[in-house]
Amino acid sequence: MGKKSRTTGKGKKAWRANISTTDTDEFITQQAIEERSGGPLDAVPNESLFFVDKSKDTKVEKKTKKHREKVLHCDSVLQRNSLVPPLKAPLKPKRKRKEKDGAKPPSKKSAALSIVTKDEVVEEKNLPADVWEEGDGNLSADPGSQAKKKKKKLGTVAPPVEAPAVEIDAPGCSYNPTFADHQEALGAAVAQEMVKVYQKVLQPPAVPRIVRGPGHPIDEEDLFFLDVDAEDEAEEEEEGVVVDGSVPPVDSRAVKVKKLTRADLNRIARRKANLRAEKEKQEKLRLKKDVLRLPDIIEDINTHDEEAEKFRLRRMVARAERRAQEPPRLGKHKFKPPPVQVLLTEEVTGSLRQIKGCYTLARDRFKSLERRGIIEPRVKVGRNIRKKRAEYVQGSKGQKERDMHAASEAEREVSKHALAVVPV
Amino acid sequence: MVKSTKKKVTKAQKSKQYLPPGKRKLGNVAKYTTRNKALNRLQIKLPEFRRLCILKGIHPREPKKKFEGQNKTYYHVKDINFLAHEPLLEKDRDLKAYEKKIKKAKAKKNRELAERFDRLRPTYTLDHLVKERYPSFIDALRDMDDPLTMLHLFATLPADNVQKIPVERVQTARRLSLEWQAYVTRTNSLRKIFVSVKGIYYQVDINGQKITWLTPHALSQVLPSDVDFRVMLTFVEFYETLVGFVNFKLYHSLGISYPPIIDQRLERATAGVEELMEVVNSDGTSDELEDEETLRCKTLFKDLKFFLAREVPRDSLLFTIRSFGGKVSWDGDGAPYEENDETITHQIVDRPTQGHKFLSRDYVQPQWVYDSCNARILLPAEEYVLGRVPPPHLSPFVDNEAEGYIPEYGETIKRLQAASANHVLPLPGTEEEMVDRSEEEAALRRSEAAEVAAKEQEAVAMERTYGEELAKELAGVSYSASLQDQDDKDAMEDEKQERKQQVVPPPAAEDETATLAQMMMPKKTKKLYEAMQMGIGKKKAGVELLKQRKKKVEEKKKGSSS
Repeated sequence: MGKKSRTTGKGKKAWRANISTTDTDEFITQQAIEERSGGPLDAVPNESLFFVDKSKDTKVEKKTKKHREKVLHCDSVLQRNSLVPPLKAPLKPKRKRKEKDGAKPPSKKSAALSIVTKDEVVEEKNLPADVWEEGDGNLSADPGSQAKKKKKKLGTVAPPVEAPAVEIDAPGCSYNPTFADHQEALGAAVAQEMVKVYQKVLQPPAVPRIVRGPGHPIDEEDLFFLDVDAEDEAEEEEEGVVVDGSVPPVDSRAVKVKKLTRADLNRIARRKANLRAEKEKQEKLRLKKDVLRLPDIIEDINTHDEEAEKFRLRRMVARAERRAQEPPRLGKHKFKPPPVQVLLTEEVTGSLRQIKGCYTLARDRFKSLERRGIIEPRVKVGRNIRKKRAEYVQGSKGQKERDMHAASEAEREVSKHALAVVPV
Repeated sequence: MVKSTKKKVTKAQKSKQYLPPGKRKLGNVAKYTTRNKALNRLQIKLPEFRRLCILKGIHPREPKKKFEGQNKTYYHVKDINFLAHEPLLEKDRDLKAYEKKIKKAKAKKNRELAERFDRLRPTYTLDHLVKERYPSFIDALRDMDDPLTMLHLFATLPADNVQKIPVERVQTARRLSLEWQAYVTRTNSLRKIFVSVKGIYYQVDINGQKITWLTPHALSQVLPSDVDFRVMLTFVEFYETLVGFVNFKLYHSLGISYPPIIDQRLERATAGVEELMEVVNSDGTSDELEDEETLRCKTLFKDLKFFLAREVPRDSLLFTIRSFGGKVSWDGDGAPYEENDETITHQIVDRPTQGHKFLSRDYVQPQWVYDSCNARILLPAEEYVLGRVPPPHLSPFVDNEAEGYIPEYGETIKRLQAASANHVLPLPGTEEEMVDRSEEEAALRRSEAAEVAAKEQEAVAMERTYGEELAKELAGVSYSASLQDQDDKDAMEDEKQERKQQVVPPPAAEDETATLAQMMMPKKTKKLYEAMQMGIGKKKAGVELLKQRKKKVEEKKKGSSS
């Protein structure tokens, strides 16, 4: 008869249907069972429920015994770790310089852990095995070994520069030198300094960092230069370029464009063609003349070749000298030799107590390493100075873009009406 | 019939790894690689790469054509491949992995675990590297200059936190340098000492090898900022191992157990070499035949007892005096004998005035010790007395014959040496006698030649005077008048003769042979000879200049004094 209309879940009748009585029913049945079997389990004494199995069942016994004898894996792991002091115990500070007997074998603990610990390494160092353990014959210079040509291992290559590891100073660098030796050493030190001074002086002048552009007050010297330029500007005016009398601002366009007529364009084209033709004629004339003066040309070429050859020789000699004196160029920076450590004339007191000794010997060692070519010359990189934060003014972001846009627009206008400025 | 042309297949082409020339790299590009490429190949970071290169002794090269640019550093491909098989790489990686455990424990605030891990940290040794780089003991000895200098330098550096110089390094460096010094004093191998502005240079002769090193003065050393101390520390690490092994070998050759036990009391008083002297001198055999030089050095300060005042460089003097066989003490804890010991022969002081002076001993400046050791004789102590500027300290590393110029004080020393050698002649000692004999013979020959030349000159002079007197007689000049004239003339003649004597021409015989030899030479050798002569001429000119300057100075002195 169609869909049965659903009744609402609310209401007493609906709720009555929802109440389940399963748990109460279960309880009642449980009670009944318990009463039937002799009372609830709590009330029954232990003896009636359990009994000690005194039967001699060997199979089961063996099995249980075997299982009980077995140690659990977790227990065995814990047992092994008992050598390690427990975490909770306070750690004692390590005793310093334990005098270990070398005859005793290394402790079992380290063997178990199978790592080389610090103590062990210290022991090894205390009693090093002789690396060159080939008997006593090795102590003296063996002539036989020199005769043999041993295959050189890759690691043992001669250093690139044959300089001694410890270079002994000139006798003038003694703390109490003779007059002549001292003068020599001083001369060498002075020469080093003067070379630096001369290099600075002979350098070409550096490009100035700030150039005064238009719109800024001009120096008096520059005014004179400007006058010269003004004359050139007067010539340019005839070409049809109008220049503003005043100094124009940087941003806006300075040149006013005049539209060129057909006649102007024709004139320009004709001039170009004429120039081209003239150039060709001149070239031909020059070639003709050159043919006549051929021997002179040959002589010129010869002298040029000789000079080039001399230059090449000079460069080769200079390079050979440089290579002999300085270490090879191994990296980015050039090797700078350390200054000669010599006492000034006033400091030569002859007293060992008052000697003004060198207290930066580490630098001398480092330079020696660089000189021998073992490390490339290094310059310490300074710390990055954090750039100053740029201040932003509201509304200034788009100005640059707007200006650039205006400039490009103006250029397009000019190109439409054909450029007025013509290269001569 | 058309013959099929077969292309010959070379041996290289037969191999599986063959690449035709277009495909494989050729020439410099195949042999060299840049630093960054090497890092990529080895998969390590730059500091580790630098460390490994230093430990293995690999250095950058300069190829003929720098194919990647002037500002790159180039290495040999073979060196980099060699580096790739280094077991230290693996050890470094394990260490890094272990460090992560410590970091984790610390981050989990488990301080005890972190400390426990720290104690059980795995370590490594560099023994195999020493064996690899120095296959024999002599190779290691040859290269001992740099390690010794580095260790002596690091022994004086402060253990800094900024540059990360650990304290253990400084202590190990000090220990090793003291062991080395103790060995040298025991075997009396010290030969030359030079005190310069940089520091004190020592030269030793061990097993026929000359080893030179530099020790800094007793100033507090500064750690300059442009020096990369990580590099230096890596070098020191390697050198520690090397010098440890060398010391071990040397001590075993003497029969002393290594490492020697340091006297605790003296160590606390930082007495330097003294700490090990007891050990080194007590044990050991001295069966070796000592050569002449060693004997001379051993007996130089034999019966002398020294006492060092507080202001002199104690370590250096202790080392020097002991190496030359002297007994020395100082003012401090653990010293062998006190200042007021009667048997002290020399006291070394360096202050302008000395308060209380004992009459039985000489008070000298430390330079006396150094100069005596270089000259191998006891120089007169008068010139090195207190309050006086001592004579110049000459460098023993300068070969005077080669320079052709000997400073004044050098000549004095030579004369003294010759004088003492004459005294020493009657003693037995075959080598010494022979040496002296040959010297004597040479001296005799020279003196004979001088005598002959003098005689000839005398004869010539006598003839001249006879002729003059005859002429005067004939002219009728009286004797007394002629005497007066003679006095004036004599003075002038003496000067002329002096000048002539200075420019003594070589004997005629030598001249002839020289010219003959010159004519017989081929062009090449002639040019070389000429070049040599030019060089010699330049040197002579330099020496002449110095002599002239000396004369001028002396004349000035005379002029000022008179």
